[in-house]
Amino acid sequence: MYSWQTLASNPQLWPKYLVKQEIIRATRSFFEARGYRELESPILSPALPSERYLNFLATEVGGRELYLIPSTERYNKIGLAAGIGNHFVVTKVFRGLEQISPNHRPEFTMLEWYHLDGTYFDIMNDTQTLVCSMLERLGNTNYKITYQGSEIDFSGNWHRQSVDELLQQHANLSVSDIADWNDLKQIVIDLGFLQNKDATESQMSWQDLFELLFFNKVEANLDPHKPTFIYGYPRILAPLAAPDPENPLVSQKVELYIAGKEIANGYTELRDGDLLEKNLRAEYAARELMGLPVAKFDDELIAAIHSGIPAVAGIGMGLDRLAMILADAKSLDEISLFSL
Amino acid sequence: MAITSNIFLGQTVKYNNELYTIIECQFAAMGKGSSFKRTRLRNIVTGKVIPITFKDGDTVDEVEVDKFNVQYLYTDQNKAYFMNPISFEQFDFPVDGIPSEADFLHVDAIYMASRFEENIISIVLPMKITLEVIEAPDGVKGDTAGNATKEVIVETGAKMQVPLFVKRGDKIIINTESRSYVSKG
Repeated sequence: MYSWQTLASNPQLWPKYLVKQEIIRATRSFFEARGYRELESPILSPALPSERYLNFLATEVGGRELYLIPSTERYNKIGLAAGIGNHFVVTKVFRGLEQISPNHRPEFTMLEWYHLDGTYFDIMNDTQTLVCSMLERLGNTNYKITYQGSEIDFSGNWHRQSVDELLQQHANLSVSDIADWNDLKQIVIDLGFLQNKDATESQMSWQDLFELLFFNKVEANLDPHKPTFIYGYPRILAPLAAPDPENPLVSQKVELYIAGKEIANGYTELRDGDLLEKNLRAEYAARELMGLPVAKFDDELIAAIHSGIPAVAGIGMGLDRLAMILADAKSLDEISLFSL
Repeated sequence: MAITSNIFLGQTVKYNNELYTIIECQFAAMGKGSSFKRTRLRNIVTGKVIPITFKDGDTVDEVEVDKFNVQYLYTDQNKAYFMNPISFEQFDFPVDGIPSEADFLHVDAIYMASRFEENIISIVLPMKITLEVIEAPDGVKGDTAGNATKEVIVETGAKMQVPLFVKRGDKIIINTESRSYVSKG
């Protein structure tokens, strides 16, 4: 049965489908009130800051390859070099996926905002206030919702924990214990999360091993009743984020989890053009090594960063997943009028 | 040995030297290092359910189990009772271990049981099942669009969305996996 058929005969379901529209309206009011500019991002891009595990979709115009943006990041940063200042963007972004799932669609609506003179701690504050303003817009005044039978409390301060603290708490490990591939592989095998003990580095990369440890020991144990910011990820996981000056192993990257779902990903942005270029070249090389398609190298972005951007923190938030939680929907299908 | 990209619901696997049935399986975190399978495994002996995320391409041991058809008899509190129509052997199985629980258990349908060393470890529903509609509101007056639907209750108690022309007493064919109406029976 198509969504529109269900809706045509069950008009009482419409409020669920309208949650996303309401949170977009709340977003515009929120940033307008703070004097942010709205950037209109192109959907097609001539080059990408391609990360090793970010699969993109490409198309061709007049024999030239163009890319459907997987995020608006390059446009935000080029805009910052041009002097746009504090700004936000709401647009469709695209990912190459091997499958559609209840939490994954190849196209989704992304909100990104860039907070000048801010760090990732400032965007954590912004995120809390923004989501509460969305709840107000939806008529929720106590900032508590029920998602799939379980309460989530958005009021007050949300959890903020570093990857190092979470590893200590749930696995008795520190970020330095897992820095080496061989050590991490042994840890993951000992915990029983990797069955193929002979896996080589090309079959099971450091990132894969980290995700296995993280999904099974950390993500599975996050508080389901309160949103959680996780920050301070190992540097290889965030080539576009600024390193943490106090711990060279980690970067100033933050992810937001609500109801076990990853909702947002932000950084204190890396402003060192040389380091950015070095990190991105490594990502391109990794993709080539894995036999994955490589987008045209983003020289314009590197040039923009070299020309100088202000100190800034930025974040991307998946509005469909957030709407799904606020609408108490189990799957993205339940809030999408059109099927794919 | 099964590669995790091939693991499927209802499969029996050996994990850390214990046997489990895969009761939930979905893609997780695509775009974060190829892809992962987020599963929930039910321990065959203890019934305990554990969540485990596997990396696609990792290997798990698949266990050979004895599979045979069974007929549903009745449900009593938390247990459903089944019979092997050939040997007439009867056994029970916890309702919460059956996909969709008691929503699609009917005496006329044939289910698939799996046994490993004397223990029944899973019950799998037929892909399609025919059930009688026992409660149906009248179609909304004036609404003649062919694609409108309404909610009805079938004889097992499950609620279903069906086209407006379906009436009480009709037999309908249901896809048990997607829980959706297929056609009139």
